[in-house]
Amino acid sequence: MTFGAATQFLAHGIEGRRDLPLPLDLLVQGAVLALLASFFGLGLLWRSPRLRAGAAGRPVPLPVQQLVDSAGFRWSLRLLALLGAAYVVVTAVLVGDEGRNPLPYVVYVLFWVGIVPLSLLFGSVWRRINPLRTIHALLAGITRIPADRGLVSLPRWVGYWPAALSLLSFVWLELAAPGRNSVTVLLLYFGCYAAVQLGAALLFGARWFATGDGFEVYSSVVATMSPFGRRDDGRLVMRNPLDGAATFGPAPGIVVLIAVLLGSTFFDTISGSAQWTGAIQSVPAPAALLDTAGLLAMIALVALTFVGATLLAGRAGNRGRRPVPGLLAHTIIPIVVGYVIAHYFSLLLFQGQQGITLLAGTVDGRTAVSPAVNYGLITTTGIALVQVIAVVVGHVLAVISAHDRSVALFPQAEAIIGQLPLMVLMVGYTVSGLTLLFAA
Amino acid sequence: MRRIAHAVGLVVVTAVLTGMSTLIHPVPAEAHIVGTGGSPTDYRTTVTAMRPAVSTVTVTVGLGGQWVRVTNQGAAAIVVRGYQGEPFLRLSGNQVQVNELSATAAKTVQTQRAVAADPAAAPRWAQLQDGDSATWTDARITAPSGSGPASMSWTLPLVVDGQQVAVAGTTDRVPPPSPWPWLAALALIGIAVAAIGWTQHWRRPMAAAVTAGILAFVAHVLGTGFAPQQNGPVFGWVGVGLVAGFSLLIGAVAVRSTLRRSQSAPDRLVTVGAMVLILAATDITVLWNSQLPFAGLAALDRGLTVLAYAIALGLIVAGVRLVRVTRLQSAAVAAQSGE
Repeated sequence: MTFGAATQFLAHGIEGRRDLPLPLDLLVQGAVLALLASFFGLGLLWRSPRLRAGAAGRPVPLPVQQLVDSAGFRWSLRLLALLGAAYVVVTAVLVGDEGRNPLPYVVYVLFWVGIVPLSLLFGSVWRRINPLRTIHALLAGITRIPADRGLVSLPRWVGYWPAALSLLSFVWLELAAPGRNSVTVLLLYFGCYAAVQLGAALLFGARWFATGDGFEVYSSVVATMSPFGRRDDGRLVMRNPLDGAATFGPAPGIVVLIAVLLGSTFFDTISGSAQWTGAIQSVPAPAALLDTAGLLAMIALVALTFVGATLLAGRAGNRGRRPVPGLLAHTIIPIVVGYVIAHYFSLLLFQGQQGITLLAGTVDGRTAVSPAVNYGLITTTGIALVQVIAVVVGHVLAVISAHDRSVALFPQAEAIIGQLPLMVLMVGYTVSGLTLLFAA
Repeated sequence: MRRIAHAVGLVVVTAVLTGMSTLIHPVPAEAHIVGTGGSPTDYRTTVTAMRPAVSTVTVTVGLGGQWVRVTNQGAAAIVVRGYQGEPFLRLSGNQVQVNELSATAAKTVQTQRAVAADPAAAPRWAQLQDGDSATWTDARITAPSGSGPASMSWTLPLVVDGQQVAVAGTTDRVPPPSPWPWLAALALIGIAVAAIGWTQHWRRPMAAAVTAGILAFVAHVLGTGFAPQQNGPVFGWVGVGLVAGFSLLIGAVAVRSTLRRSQSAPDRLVTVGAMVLILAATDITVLWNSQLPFAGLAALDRGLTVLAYAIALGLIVAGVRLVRVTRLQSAAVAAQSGE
């Protein structure tokens, strides 16, 4: 992800093996061994399902839940978010399409990347403060359309398809679209996005956002790994993140949703490499077209390998085929979160400073075309260490999650061999991810 | 007929698993997974001369020129010249420094500052690491990819204590052996091990097969560890030691559960087979390359790899079959007790 002349800043991550705490070969070997050892240990020691999904968790003190659930608290947050969104839009329009406009930073760094740590720490934050939900509530009140139910019921087969498609539209804008850093393009995109989402919400009711708004779904997916969540009985609890992940799915479109999230992160790494840039320059076709093809190919590759591995798991585990991919889709969530942290953590840390500075500079009339960044917050080796830990821990958690679901899904005799295709897939993702991250 | 279909199904599942495990190493597609010795290749790289001869410098090249190491054996300062003749690396006083303005430094990822500098510009030295040796991948020495020339000469220019020194060497293509005899042996051994799963008294033979497969794999891994390592012996042996230790552990658990007639024995057999295949995934390339990162006879390494691969494949086929048999037997016992 790069945007424009003023922004060599977004050459995020690290660029060479010299920053790695260990040689890349050894790093990959260690990561593969960590996965295999986890798998082997789980096979020996974890014989029956232990994750309790929506039934798990220790309730937080009741006054805390009462505060969080109080109308005053909820509406304060929603209005704050709405005002924040309005401020960003107004600022973007007033500042215009210039290098000092904070909008690209706000969209691609503070919002798109920042939503991940927020959701990981505090749960499904965006669902609580989604400005589109607030605007929808106001519109529903004005038009007298039932806010919850809408005009027609949302068919079950729709599932997460709208969220997957809306996320695909955003990652395409971020990674492949021409003029992706133009303020006009961004305003146009979000204007259209809001219109479509609000129209659908008026038609199907507010529940649309839970499966149709890509950003809310993204936040909710990441939030399943948060230590805070809701039990099935509605209690706000502290829980094992793997219990949270197990609450996700199955539903139509869930595999595509996961593939969009993971595939786009993979493609972001590839598209930043010298090899990809060289390939694009050597092919006589528009770069946007090649980027689009690369993005779609990577998403398709993730989807196909996942579906293939899970179908094979279903067959090896003597469970038939159909429901298995959806039932195991949640196991990819830790991998997605691991990659997002590994890939974007330094971006948020450094370019987030520029975004905040530009926003603040606009407020008091001071403008800085190239705000200073404090790169001393962490060393490049430190960044590499965080990246490696995020990727490896993400995959180990995925192996644990897959193992627990497998011993629940498959007959006891076939539970281990049923997981082998998934283990091979995760080893593949680990090797590919680390190699792309550090060698591309 | 149904048995044949079942056997074919097992082979298909095994083939897919094997294919997946081979495809999971996408970027260094030919890389050796264990240690840091480099990948099998068909090129032999040799240092032929140092002109003039200097006793205070040692130059070591990795397999097929995949890496080169310059070691300071007592010189006050050694400067390695880059692709454009510019100062690239400097070794002096137990320190390795890189010229941040060297285009070679940027291309070999020694520094993040990718500067297209004037080769004549005064160097700007930055500390790279402590130590008396520097290792990097040098395009002047690396063997050509694809259908390159059968032989090439190369020169690595150094400045040792102010004196110009040229390290000369050759990279020669060595024809690879035919892999077919090895692959035939692999198939035969694999079928023989898989067939044990169809016998009534499978436990002792299977335990022996697991032992043989694991020991072959560990011997292959240890042989790799004794080969020159790009990142030095410590890093190399960390990788080798971890893989060898883990392999012995899973092998021991599988043998134990097989001999103790544990119900989970078939599971363990499949798991061990799959894990050895994953760990050895790209090592199969030793069958069709002439130069191997192995301290010993190449034929011995090929034999060990074939044995490990074949037994791993056989264990997966036999193990999956035995898992099914165990499940059917348990179901039959449950049905009988229900009556």
